[in-house]
Amino acid sequence: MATSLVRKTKLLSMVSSQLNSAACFRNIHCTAACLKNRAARIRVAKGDKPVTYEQAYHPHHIGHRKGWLSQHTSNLQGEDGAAERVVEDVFIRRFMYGTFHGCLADEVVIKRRGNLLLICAVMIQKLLPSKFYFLIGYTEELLSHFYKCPVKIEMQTVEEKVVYKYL
Amino acid sequence: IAVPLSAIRGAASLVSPLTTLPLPLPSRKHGGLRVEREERPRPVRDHSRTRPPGTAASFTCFIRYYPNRVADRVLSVFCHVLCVSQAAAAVRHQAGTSRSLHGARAPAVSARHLKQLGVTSLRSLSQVSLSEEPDALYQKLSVRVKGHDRSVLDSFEFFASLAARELGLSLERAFEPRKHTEKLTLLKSVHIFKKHRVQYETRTHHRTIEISRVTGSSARVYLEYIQRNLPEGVAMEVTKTSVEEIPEHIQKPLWDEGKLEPCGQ
Repeated sequence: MATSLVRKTKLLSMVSSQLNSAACFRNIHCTAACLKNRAARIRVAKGDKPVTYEQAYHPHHIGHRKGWLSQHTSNLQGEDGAAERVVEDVFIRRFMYGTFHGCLADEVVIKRRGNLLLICAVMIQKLLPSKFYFLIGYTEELLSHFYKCPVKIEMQTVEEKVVYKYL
Repeated sequence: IAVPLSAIRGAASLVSPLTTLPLPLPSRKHGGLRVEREERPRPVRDHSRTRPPGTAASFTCFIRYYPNRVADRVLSVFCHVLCVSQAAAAVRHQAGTSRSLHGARAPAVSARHLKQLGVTSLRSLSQVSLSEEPDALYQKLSVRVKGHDRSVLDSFEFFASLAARELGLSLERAFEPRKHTEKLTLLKSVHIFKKHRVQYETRTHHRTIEISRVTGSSARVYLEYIQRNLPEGVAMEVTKTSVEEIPEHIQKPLWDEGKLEPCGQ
């Protein structure tokens, strides 16, 4: 889902830059396209591809066999702010992926309790604990300054990526 | 609470923070890597013996089971029922054994109540303040929680009703209003193929807990405790119903005093 989002935004920006350079300003209208059959799925292959629990189950299993990766109240009936939360979540996921490069064992879980932003991550023991501590403090400090709210990181380390099955 | 115990030892586990654990237990202090720590011995709960709510026994039981979650404001609820010295002794004992309570703003306890209990000095309860104005009275306090996960709301209802029972509030009813489903029908493909759509739905489950005949300070204590322990992804709406006096200008109908002129014949 995130990768397809990236591809579509790149396409849009390329097209719009071409249009703008040709001195004709036209807006592009498009509906949200949701490739239901291909979203967030890893296709079955030869049997040598390791896959985690999160990757193994498809989006229609959310709520039944999977939990939610991002927990906030803006998608409930009568609540607003969904778009802002989505943008924040995307930024946080990219930030975590970049800061702890190669250390993330699985997707980052983001929880919001009132004002508090709680980021839960599972890491591979690739760095020394002191380096992990430093990166946690750095992330918490920067993100709390960006979003003007307390940010806490809950981290769990694992020796290697937890494999659920091989596809 | 998202991290299970087995992960502390660095072992691989399938129950990761990705699956929601629908337990609205209060959050622990955390931050950084988890360090191996021994579990402190917890008091064994005897479910066969039920304590009458709103007494000194239930208060000590309450603070023993939830030692780190007792706010100073909880005292204001118990002061109305118990002898104040007992409550102070229990709190001092608890503060000695566990971490110190948060230095929150003191609640306003009605002076009349304490005088009825025969308390003259409050030096032992330094965090309680007095005020002369009467406490607000609510006929009904309705707490409505919304969430995407029904099991999370189930356990939150259990927690809230347990808290109300222990604090001695009269829980009138706890029911589940109908869930609300918002459906979206979108195009399946990026380009053309208008006939092929895909449908998504967002379900919002509700739960309502009604508490009747509660005072303002008790309501504040209960709501603060409930709201501090609200799980993520759950929203709460509170409705308070109180009886107000009719405003002076509409207490008597105008036609009684002869102020109205008769309509044109």
